[in-house]
Amino acid sequence: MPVKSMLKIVVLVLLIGITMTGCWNRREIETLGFVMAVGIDQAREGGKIQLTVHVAKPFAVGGGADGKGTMEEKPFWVVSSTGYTVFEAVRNFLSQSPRRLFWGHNRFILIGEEFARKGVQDVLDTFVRDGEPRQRAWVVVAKGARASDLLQAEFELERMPSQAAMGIIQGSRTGLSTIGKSMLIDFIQKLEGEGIDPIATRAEIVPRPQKFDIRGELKREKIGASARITGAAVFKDDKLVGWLNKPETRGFNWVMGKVRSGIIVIKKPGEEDRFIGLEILRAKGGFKPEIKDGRVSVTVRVEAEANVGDIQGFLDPLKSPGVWASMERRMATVIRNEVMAAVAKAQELDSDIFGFGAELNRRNPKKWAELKDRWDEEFPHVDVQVEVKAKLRRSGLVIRSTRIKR
Amino acid sequence: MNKIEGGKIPARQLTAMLALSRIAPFTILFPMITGMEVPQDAWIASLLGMLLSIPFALFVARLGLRFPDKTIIEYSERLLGRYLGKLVGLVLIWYLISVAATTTRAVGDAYTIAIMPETPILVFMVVMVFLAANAARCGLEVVGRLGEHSIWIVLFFLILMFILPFDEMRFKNLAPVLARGFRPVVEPMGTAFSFFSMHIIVLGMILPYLNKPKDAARYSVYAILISGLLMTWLAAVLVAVFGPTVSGLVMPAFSLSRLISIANFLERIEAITMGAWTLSAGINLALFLWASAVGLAQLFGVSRYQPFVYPLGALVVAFGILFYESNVDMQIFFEFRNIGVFSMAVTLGTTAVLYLAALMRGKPSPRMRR
Amino acid sequence: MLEGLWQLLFRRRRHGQDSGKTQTGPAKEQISSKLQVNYERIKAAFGNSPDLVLRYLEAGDQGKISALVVHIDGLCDKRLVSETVVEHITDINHKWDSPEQAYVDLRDRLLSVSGVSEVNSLGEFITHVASGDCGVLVDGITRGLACDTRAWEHRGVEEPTTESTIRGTKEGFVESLRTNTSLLRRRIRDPRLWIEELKIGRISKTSVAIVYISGVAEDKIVQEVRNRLRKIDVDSIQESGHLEEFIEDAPFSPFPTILRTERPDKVTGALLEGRVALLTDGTPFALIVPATFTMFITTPEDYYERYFIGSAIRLLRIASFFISLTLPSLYVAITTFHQEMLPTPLILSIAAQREGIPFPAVVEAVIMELIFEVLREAGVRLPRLVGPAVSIIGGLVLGEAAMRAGLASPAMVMVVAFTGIASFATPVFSLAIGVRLLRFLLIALAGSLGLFGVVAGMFALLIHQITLRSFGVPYLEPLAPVVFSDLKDALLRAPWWALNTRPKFVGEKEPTRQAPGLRPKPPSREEKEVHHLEGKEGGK
Repeated sequence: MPVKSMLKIVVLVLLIGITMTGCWNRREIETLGFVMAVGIDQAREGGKIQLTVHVAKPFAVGGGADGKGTMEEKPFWVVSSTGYTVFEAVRNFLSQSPRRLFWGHNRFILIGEEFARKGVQDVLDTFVRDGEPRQRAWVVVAKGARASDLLQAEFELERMPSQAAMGIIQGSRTGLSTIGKSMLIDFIQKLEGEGIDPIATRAEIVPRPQKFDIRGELKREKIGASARITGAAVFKDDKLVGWLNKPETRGFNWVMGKVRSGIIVIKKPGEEDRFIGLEILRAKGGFKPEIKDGRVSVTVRVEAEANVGDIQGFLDPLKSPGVWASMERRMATVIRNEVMAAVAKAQELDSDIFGFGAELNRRNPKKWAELKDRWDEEFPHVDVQVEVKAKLRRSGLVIRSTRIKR
Repeated sequence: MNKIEGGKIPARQLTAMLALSRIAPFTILFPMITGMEVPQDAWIASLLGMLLSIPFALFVARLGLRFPDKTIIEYSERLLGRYLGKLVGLVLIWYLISVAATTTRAVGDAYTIAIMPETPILVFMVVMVFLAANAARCGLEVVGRLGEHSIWIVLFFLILMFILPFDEMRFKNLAPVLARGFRPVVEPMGTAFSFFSMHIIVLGMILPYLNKPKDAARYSVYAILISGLLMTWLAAVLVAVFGPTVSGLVMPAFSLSRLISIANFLERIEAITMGAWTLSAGINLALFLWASAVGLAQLFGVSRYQPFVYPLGALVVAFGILFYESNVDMQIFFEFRNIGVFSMAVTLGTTAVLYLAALMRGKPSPRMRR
Repeated sequence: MLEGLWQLLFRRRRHGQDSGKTQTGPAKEQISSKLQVNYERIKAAFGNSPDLVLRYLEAGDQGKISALVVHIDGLCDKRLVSETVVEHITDINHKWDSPEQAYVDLRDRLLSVSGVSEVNSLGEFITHVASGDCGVLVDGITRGLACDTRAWEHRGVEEPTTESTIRGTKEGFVESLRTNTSLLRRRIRDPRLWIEELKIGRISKTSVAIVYISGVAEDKIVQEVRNRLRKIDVDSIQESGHLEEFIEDAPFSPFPTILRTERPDKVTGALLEGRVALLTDGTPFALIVPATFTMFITTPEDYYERYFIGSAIRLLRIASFFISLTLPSLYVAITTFHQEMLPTPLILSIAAQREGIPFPAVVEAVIMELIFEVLREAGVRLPRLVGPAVSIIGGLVLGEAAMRAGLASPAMVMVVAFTGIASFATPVFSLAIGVRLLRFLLIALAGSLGLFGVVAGMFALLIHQITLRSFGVPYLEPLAPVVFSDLKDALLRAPWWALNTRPKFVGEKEPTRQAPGLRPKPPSREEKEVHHLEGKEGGK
């Protein structure tokens, strides 16, 4: 028996090997154009969608042993195509690109503001339906710009703009907490979820002066524009309705418990024209919706710990006893203001980005069933209470500032 | 003792084979979660479906233990007479083949939908059925060992899927529990029950080849518990990760593995986990091919079952292609009103008829059993 | 379980059993009473070979009785022949009246060699002579004497070259069967170490010894080994590999089902588990049956190093076994089918390397693997001093040149090189070589069907391995079927004090191998106090 089956296996393998090598799904890696980011805009022709992609040029990235890539060459290629659906537009790239586009490494889905305001459901479908694209791609909205323009932006320090953008996002998330985290999978989930609206990451074009006075060689073609990635885009269902700026985004992150670090600047007690920078160490956040007498109220609780990062002027907490507590109070106020700003913006835009409704549903499904249909009217009037516990833990290596001799 | 299959297997291997056979359709398709109205209660449907299938397993084992040295095909002929008995046997074999065909098609679909869309589905189906048929021809011992060996691999990948996307899991997605009461859960529960009970009918074929047939009931319940609890947990994880969107996914477990990255080195391991699911489906297939071939041999009174395996394999591939026009077709078939009726009519129907007949004939005297 | 297993085994073997002939012996010619006739016949049998020494002697004091001494130059200890045979025959102090008297006297008393055996047929006599014995024929007697004077040039016991360890014995088997059995006897000093010897080969008449520990080894297995050996009817056995092919269970399998080794400690370890060893004269390689898959990835060192180190090394070896089997195919599958799996910078770097390479990745992989195989083969064949140079220089230069010429990407060269090195970590060459062949099949599958192909291939291999048996023992024994008591020494090695039982299928006859509860513990407080007191009293 083993003999027979072994022979069969050998025959099978040979058959497969001989007949199938070189067809179907085999795509040699060098025949693929790796899409790093895609931008979606309204095409100038009516009703069509314009897709702009960032394709990596592997040979210019410089992976070869002998450094085939030259520093002068841009390691990416930006190209657009149009179609009535995204999928069609993707196929249409074949008429311009010698390499088949591969979407498995796409990190960013960039949507132009104009387009986002009209609704994004139609364009996101193929990214979920198809097997190739990543579900963890970031959904980014270009503020005041077309996505195709934003894709022209370049960054320093990294050769690949998508790599650079990832770096910025990672840095902002962990160091500033001013990024609205929104990957495709989250976005889709919030679109479908009851009592919650999606957000997306916000990106803006920062024009660069054409004249450079930076020292050193500038070998690449001049960088025309760069991009800044901060804040969040607020959606109502699948339509863009507004923006959260940096403090508001951090306010949003406080509520969601997503703040990881960041700097809180407070005015110096007793010397109101000077500032103190506090570094957030860890933070917890959460909220609890309740229904009292048919009115929805939400209590947001934030706990934050911080270290003193810098103090302008002179301050000695040993000599002025109340100052430490006063700094803590001011820190709490800043946090509360940020949260309130975020809530106010969301209520103004009538977009439940926090998921107050969803949480209500989890806690009290029956009440939610009654409330569900008029949540849009209800949400702007939700009464939000903020409770902040702020703690200053460490002063750093000096307990007081340097005292300038008089 | 008949000579068609010479081997005897320990009950432990029965557990492994049955558990794998159940894990296969769930990991590949997760049949009842797709299209579910209240997907966050999928785990309840899965849990209840599993619990319901335990009495059924006990029932089939009890029926089998009346004839501890005969397969269900043999004793149906004894109980129902020559023609009716053979008819019941044929129905059961046809059922086994259709389930195998569905599994094969599901695997083929999984590959052609997401991983290698341009490759003909026939390639995947033929290769898989061919391998499974080879295993089936080597006898129950080989299939049993295969199961016993592979279950660790499959479990490893399952656990990987339970751990690695931890970052994405939000277990509060599971709330509210039973927000709309039990009604929306009933039908998915029925589907889950159909899938959990589907494989129990094979017990009727394996039972006489166990070292200790008495263990059949206990070990098949173990199999149900292992696979059922894992699948319940999987349902919970899926909801935790995908939230409400999970009911729109064709292959939720597959989509889950797309999110996994291992230490920033392997980013999307869906092709690898799919391999593990293929393994479990392969063992499921091997078991079903073995059971239907042995059944057919006994039906026709032939002394060897091996000649039936390849033709049955061909039939499985053909059925897999012909049964479903598209994967949407298959999903429609997985709705309770289709698969539930089909599966329950066959499994519950035949076993109930046999049991009634056995009761009427009374307990067979020891001499009759020989 | 075992019964079914044996049934299966014997059903397969039954038809062969009665056809198995007993060893075809030499011609059943009787020894003639005329010495002259015998002389001519022996001479003719050897075809006047110059190394055949035939000498007439006049025996006893009267010189009336003549005797013939036959031996082969180079196979005998000449001094022993002259001192213990010739001298005694020709000693004039003997008073012999009849040839019969002389013969009996010689046989029972005078030939002062330890081993003297009597033979009845001329053929048997010639066989003895050809094996190095010194034959004595006495005129008028139709029986002959064969004195054990065997001694020939052979290699001394040296460190085994193919299986070297850092810790463990430095003795390896040699070409002489007797030396080899003595190496085993020295390690197991128990009369239960039984050695059965038989001659295989119509012409070569090679001695093959079946070694086992009576009472530990399963009788059925020993009997099966005997049966299989007896059935062999060939002209010669050159090496144990020659023997292996006649008795193995799965001749078409790429996986070896018989373990070979030149380490006596490995053999004794296997014997103590209840296995059977076959020693073949003329080769330092012993065979161990039944062999299971896990035995091929273990080395004696696993047992000598402390257990967690042993376990870790064994895991590493298992990992490298799988790497050597699958790495190139996984690389091909991932880079040509599943490009989404690797992180972006890595995939871009690989893509950049592949830029301008004319072949598909599959072909590239096959070519590089072939080059590597040729290099390795050349390295083995060349003289020992040149071999490493060729492998190193060939590897470096060819790899570098292939990259420069745009025939291969650096990543592929690295994959192939790593695969090659990983395959060296497989301790048993016969397994490693089988894996080398399978690797190409997997590459072909990966190139056509991606990871599905690899999975299908591995599934097929798994099915195949599960159907394999070695002398009735399932090949994947502790893994499939799962034998929990044997898992302690399969993928990991449990500490020695926990290895209380022998493997299930081979050691069931005497399952316990050591006393339970041998785990070392620091002495408890009471014990300490007792020792303390005892010490004091002893001091008084």
